[in-house]
Amino acid sequence: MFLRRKYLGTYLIFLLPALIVFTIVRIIPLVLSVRYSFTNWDGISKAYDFVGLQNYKELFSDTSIAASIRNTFFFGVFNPLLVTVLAIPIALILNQAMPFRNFARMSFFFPSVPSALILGYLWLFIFDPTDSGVLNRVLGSLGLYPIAWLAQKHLAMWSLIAVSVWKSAGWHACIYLANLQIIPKDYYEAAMIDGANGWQKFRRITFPLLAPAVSISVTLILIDSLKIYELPFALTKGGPGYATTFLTQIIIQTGVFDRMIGRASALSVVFVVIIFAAAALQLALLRRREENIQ
Amino acid sequence: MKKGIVTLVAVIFVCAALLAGCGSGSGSTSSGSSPSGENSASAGGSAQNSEKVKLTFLSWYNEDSMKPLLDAFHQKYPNIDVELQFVPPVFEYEEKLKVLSIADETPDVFYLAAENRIEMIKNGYAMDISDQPFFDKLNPSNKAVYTVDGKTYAYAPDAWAGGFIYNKDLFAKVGAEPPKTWDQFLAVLDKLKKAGIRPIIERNDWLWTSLNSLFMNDVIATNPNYDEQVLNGEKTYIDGWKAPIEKWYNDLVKPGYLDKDLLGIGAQQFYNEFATGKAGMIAGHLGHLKEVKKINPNINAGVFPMVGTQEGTKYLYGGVNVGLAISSKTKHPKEALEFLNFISSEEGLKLYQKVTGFLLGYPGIDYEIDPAFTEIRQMYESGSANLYLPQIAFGEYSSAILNELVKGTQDVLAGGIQPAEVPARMDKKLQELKKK
Repeated sequence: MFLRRKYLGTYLIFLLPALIVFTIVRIIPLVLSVRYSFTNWDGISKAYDFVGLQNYKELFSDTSIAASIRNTFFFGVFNPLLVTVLAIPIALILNQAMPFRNFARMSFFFPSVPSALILGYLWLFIFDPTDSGVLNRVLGSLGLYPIAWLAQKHLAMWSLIAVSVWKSAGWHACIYLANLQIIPKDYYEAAMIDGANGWQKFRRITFPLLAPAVSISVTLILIDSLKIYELPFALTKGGPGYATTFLTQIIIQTGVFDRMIGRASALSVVFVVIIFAAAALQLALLRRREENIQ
Repeated sequence: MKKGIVTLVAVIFVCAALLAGCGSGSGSTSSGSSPSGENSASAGGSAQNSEKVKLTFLSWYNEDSMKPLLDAFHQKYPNIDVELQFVPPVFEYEEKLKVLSIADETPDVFYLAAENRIEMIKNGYAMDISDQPFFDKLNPSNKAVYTVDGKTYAYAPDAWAGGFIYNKDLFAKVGAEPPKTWDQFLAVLDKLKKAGIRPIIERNDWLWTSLNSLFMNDVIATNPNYDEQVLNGEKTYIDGWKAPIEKWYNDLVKPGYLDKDLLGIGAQQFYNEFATGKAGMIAGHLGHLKEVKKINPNINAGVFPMVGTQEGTKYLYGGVNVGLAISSKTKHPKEALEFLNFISSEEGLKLYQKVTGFLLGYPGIDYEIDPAFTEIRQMYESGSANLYLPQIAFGEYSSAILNELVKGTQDVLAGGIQPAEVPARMDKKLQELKKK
């Protein structure tokens, strides 16, 4: 990277518009949120008081906040895990020469295109608990009883994870697919000569050399999972009870419906710290692995 | 050359994207077709000053439905232009109003609703209109909802009242009559269930409507000041809600008349199941019946008021509609009041009723509603029954307390908690919010 002084002015001119917008839209609200987290502002009065760390202390005694933190972590573990476990085999399959390969690639990629909100409403119909729901009709034709997919606490969470994985796996498979293209074919030829079977080739060659894609994909899906909002909003509205309520929703609920902007701001500051810590930790671990493999 | 064209196209795209982002929010429209130019002489019959005035109106009814009313107003007051901006209810509207108010850009005329009325009034955003003539003949409960410390801040000419909307054909099939008491209600549910019909369907965030039937007719009917007492600290939510919710659980949830399936039901399935004859009844008002009839115009539907353990409905499931308020900082108070007064005229009321579709709070005005609601209309107009809606009764902390009721009833149905835990949570939330 050259940082010649001669071009500094040019760099600044190109960066400035984006920097200004970024500051206004991201940095200023973040700083204001930190400020509000030390107040008892309700979002509508003209006046408010500073209350120090009280909002932070009260955060953890609220049962709905505790539930949403648990749910966020649960989802933040299982969603990336399942997406990765599915995306790699999908990428391997889509890398093979086969008829209709482009169509297959498109079909796997497509669910990541529509907004999560639309997909949520779509799956609401599929999961419809009455006999007319799509999934339950299928069960009915097999002679099984209808299931209330979104009505039981644990089932609702797993249904949500299933939809999220369905949405994201194809997109992440593309990341792995791209990485697969740059693995030199010589390694596989050498392995074939040595008599390695499919699984050994995957374990010793493919998987280690996918490390860059793993770093990127897992980091992205982890951050996305922690920030999830539209899908649970459309599918379950956080229900039943608080079974599928996540931090994003509880921040809005606390700030807007409970009229406690101060406490909601404190929660969002904690949220930023959690995401930052998770992403930094995970990226450090994966980058180290990547370097070891190189 | 080619590079130049590509660059030009790229620049055009970027500019277009920037300008698209600058578009205004949810659509504005000005009413009337007055000639442009200042100080145009007014042609109307009323004596108005010839100064042109623009009123900003944040409406929760859209432009198309409001147009006849606004046109009629403009005809009578040609110098007043009402600029309507539509934001859909409820959450989006209240957020937009809140943001505008904090930024000191409160619209001249806006709506106060159950959830935001107390805080908007307490923060001084609404003008005191207690002495206006349109309150004289208005149903007192319409005025009371928007009155704080003896002063009234919003004008709601109408109210909605509902009950249980039922499928007459299904009832006839199982030999059921509209019930007059809770026990009769349970008998009807039983008949429907035995015939393999889902007795009642409800959306997952409105599970408490059947509970409300029992609560308001048993508790509020004997103590109309209950909610005030809770807000004052004299009583708790457990005092009033524990017995009804336990009875609701034993009578409706345990026998399976309300089952876990409902946790997965959203608005569309709610209307569909009832409209297609798969469910015997729903809790609702005129608006809900209208939606059902859009799906199945031939449905033979009736309505019966909500019931308690004693015979004789004292409280109807319903509430005063949103109220028109005037900004305390408006530059045109006279014109804004003229707008509200116009709506209170017979012509205005009829046009307004067509917009909202609800029941007018004035006697003797000729308007039509779905015949299924005739009995309920008479009960409201004659005053033989009052209206009750938890969201309105919960006062200042309405959305937070209602949320506990919604989530709590979901948890009860999912089988996570005891019924009495629900009012306990409502009490806890109230204490938390009061301390703030």
